[in-house]
Amino acid sequence: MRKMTLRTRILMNLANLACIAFLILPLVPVILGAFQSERGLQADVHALLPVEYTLDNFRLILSGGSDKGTLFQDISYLPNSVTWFPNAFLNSVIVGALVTVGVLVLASLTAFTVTRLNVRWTGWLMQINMISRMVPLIVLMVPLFVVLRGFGLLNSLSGVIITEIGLLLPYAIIILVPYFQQLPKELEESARLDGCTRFTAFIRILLPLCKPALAASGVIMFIISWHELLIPLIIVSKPEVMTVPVVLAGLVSDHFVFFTVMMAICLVGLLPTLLLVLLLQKYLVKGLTAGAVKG
Amino acid sequence: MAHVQIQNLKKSYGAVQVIHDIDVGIDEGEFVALVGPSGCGKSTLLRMIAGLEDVTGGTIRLNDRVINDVAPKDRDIAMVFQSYALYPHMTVEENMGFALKLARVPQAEIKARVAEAAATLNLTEYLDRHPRQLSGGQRQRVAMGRSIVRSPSVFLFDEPLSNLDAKLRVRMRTEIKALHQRLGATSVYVTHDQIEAMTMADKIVVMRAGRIEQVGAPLELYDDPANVFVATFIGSPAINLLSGRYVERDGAGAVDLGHGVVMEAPQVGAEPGQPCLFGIRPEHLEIAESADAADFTVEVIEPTGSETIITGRIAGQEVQMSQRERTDLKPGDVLRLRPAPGQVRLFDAETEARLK
Ligand SMILES: Nc1ncnc2c1ncn2[C@@H]1O[C@H](COP(=O)(O)OP(=O)(O)OP(=O)(O)O)[C@@H](O)[C@H]1O
Ligand SMILES: [Mg+2]
Repeated sequence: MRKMTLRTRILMNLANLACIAFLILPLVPVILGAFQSERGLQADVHALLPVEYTLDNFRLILSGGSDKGTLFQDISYLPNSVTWFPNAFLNSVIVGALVTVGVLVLASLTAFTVTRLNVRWTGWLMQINMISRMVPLIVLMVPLFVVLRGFGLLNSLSGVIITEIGLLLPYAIIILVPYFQQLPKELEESARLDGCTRFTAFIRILLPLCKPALAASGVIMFIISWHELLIPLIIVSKPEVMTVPVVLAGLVSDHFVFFTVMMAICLVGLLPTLLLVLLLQKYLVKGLTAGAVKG
Repeated sequence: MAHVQIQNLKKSYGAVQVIHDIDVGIDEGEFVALVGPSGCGKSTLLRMIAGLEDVTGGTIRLNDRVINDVAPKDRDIAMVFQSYALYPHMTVEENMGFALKLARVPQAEIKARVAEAAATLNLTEYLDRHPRQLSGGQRQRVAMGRSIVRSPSVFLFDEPLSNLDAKLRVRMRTEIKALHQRLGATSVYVTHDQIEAMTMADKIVVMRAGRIEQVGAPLELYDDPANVFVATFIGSPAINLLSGRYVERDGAGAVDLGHGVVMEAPQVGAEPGQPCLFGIRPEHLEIAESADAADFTVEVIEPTGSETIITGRIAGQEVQMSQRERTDLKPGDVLRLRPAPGQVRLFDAETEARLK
């Protein structure tokens, strides 16, 4: 890398810090809010730190509304969605995991076909796929609803999963295709002479070498699926198939907004993605910068 | 151990034909070198034998069985790629044992066979390393080892030494030859380095633009080239080709090189006066004060240590000669040169075919 002067280095670091602050700062009020009461939050809007701390928000959501603690024991109304939070969390994990796995399987098979098998029309299919993804999701909602109703997939997790896979697949393909392209073809040819079929060469040679790209796109897919609201909102109306974002949305209405409970849900909801990123950290930087530098 | 028979082999990419009706046989245990300029179809031919390219026409037989449509994995053929194509995510040991593992050979036997091959190739201490932790020469040996452990019917090499520096290339050349002499495996070796082909091969196939120009033992091609292309391709420094006209003198052949220079040549079936090329290798020109010698004006002197290459002119045409002895010649000196007996080769000036 080129040597930078001290001044540019300081400026670069400041810019970097500013970006990080912009992304992280909103978390601070969420953390502070999650550990206090609604009354405490409203009491003095100018105070930086809360006057009292409580874990009741977490008790409430994790127990599904049965453990009301001191904060909520004499509250007259609790939105129904709060009671479904543990279940919604599980649903979100299931949807996120299956969507991620499904997208990765289909996207890597697609990338293999497009980059390795010389079939001309696959290139056209790719283009059509990419262009169709430029259509805003909201436009597709009514047709999607009708189609899913036709297949009897409304109010089911499989409906949500299939729809999200369809939505996310092109993005994963965009990440994987260039990565596949830069892997030398001789590796698979050598494997085929060593005793692999085209498919087993793909499984045993190509896929292990794609770990960074798979990890990177996997994390991105999981995060997008994790906070997807529109699709489950349209497909799902029964509380037992709600996902976390739907529960969150249910806490906002014309008559009430449960700020502190929402903040607690946000924090708990952060955990799976955080865990995933930490686990795959080793591959992520490699995968997201792949192809940027040769060799 | 196996023999390969290739008949009328053709290959087209779309409308472009890159291999034209190739016929060649590779005997059991033979080491065959495929040589030719870049783009002449050497790799394509090799990859067709391996099964990595579809055959457009003709047949490839392995031990009398047509293998045109047999999958690469069922051909029992191993290949060493120019880029080595080592699996980056596997250790040296895993790389070398991969084929055996796929063939469900018992773990203990894999270990033993890999250890044996590694010992042969001086790789024992690197077995736990990954390819990126090896030098170019070590990678090259791993690629060889990966083929050896399988003991396949046929070995294919696609310019395996071209990524090494000159010194290592010469050493690996000797090692590969020694290995072949010990294993006696049928091998096809692609190179565009004629020295590699000459030193290693039992048989050389010279290709040009998708066609075979000549097949023969190294010294056969050197002594008896079928045309100008083969004559210039084999041998370094390259053969001298002087243009002139065929004449007969005292019942023997000769070539009139112009400027009043007439040189002795073999008697061939050509019309007197027919334009032809007079071919003589630099090492076959000798200094002599006889009547059949021609004046040679020295222009450039290049000592290489073991020999001296002298460039000059005979009858106004550029000629190189090489000499074992040290010399104190200077540019501008005039020598008298004549071809060593029986070393002149004549070629038709138009078709470039050998005149006999
Ligand atoms: N996939 C392909 N599509 C179209 N033409 C090709 C393809 N592969 C090779 N060719 C052409 O076939 C010809 C032979 O190529 P090949 O790679 O066999 O040459 P080569 O003799 O191995 O050359 P080199 O010494 O440079 O490796 C070349 O003219 C090349 O352009
Ligand atoms: Mg080649």
